[in-house]
Amino acid sequence: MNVLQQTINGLIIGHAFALVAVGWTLLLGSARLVNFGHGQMYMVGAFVAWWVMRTTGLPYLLAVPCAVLAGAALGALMQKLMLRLTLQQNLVSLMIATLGFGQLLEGAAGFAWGPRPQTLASPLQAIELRWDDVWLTAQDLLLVVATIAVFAALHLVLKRTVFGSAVRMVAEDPKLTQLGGLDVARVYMGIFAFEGAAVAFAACLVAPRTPILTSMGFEQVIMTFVVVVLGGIGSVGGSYAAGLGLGLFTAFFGALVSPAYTTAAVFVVLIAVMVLRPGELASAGGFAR
Amino acid sequence: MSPVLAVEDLLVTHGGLPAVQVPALALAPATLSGVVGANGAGKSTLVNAIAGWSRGSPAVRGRVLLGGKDVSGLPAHERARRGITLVPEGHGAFLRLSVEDNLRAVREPDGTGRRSFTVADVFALFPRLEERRVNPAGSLSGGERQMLALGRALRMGPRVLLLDEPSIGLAPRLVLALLQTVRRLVDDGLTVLLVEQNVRAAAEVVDTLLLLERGRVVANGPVEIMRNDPRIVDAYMGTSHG
Repeated sequence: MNVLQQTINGLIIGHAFALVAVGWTLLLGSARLVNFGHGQMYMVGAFVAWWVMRTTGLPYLLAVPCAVLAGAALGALMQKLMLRLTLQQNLVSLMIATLGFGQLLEGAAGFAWGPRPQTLASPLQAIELRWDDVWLTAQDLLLVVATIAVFAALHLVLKRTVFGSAVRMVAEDPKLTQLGGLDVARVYMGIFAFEGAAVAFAACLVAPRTPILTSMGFEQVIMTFVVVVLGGIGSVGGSYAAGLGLGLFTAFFGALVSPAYTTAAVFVVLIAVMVLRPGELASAGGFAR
Repeated sequence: MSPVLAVEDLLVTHGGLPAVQVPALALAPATLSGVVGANGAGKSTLVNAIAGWSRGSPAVRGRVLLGGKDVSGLPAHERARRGITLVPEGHGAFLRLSVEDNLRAVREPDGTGRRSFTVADVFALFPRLEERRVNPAGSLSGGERQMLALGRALRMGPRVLLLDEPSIGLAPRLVLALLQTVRRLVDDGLTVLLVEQNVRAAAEVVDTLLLLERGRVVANGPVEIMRNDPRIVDAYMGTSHG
């Protein structure tokens, strides 16, 4: 086994996990909400980019912003439909509603784009960067840089901006936020739009690595869930670290044991962590830390 | 002078049961009105209904007029923007945000000629808060938190300030200091409706007192008269209190 190569692979996969999860991290940390349609929104993001490229002939790098806009619109629409449940913080209904929304997206995507695997072709995927016996693609490098940029930007926005303060206030006490003259529904709308845009952006960067299928959403939502929970519910830095850790674990487990059992092994880790440190995870206070 | 705030035919119900019923209530400009009454009399329900806000889901009927304009149909954040500023019971600040962020993260009035405090104004009023500006509000003492909650409210340029039990949990010395600060703000032109369980302390600073019992106003008038009202004296001014 080439340890250096596996480390690089793990870091790349880890950045992919983290980037896919960043929207949900904000969603959970601020709005205390879940979105089990997250994986299908990932799928739609990838397919919108693919569809834009195919129908308009736009290059990959211009198809990405189209998909991000579509993702933001989808997130905002989702929030519009579920506003009442959101304001009531009705978690069980939200889980079911978002799960249903995801299934709707999957059905609609299957209807529109068919069941066959497609390729979201990025020109960067073909550019290989080599040193001695280790290598990565320019797409991998873009993914890593973009992930770091998104996490850094989110951290700064939450800490330094008015919108960041609004998100932190909604996270702590949405009712009290209203008394400050802020329209909580619009804050939630912004959070959902970010969630949709971020997952579509992640899909555009991650999906060129493998063929895309309209049924690929489920696995994404599962891994995102693991990243967010391991990261300490809603913690931005924690999710980044958890994504990287999970990526390294996936790479080395795949190399040393078998890639076939990676998902099962990840859940063994998740359950072990939850059982051994339940207090810390349960009390993780979103952006408090 | 026409009232800053008027309430007409207000009826608040919880699950069909009436909680508060106030046919008429008016607040004159630059006055401090106290609302007193036993626990469960509906004091908080009354001020929450005026602000269009609640942690529960009561049904509210009737009209709330701000400067003669009906605001009853507006949600809480819209009323807050127009100048009905509520400091709710318990905590009126975000415990995880720093003192300074708490003061910054409110919506300031936009060019309506209302006087709003800058962050520096609030620090001038409560120097203690400036010393602790970078600390999270959760690390403040009870008295400091009330200062912060009041400071947040003043930042919004209130036309009417609704204070729900600001003295709860405070040492007697702090209660008086806080109420005297409120009194000074009123003398400077602010209109305040103060819910207060400490009737003796409230009677020291208010202009009018309103006694609420089981959701109804049973007495209302200038404090000089009300402090001798037997219903107030018997229930709240006994020598064993305060």
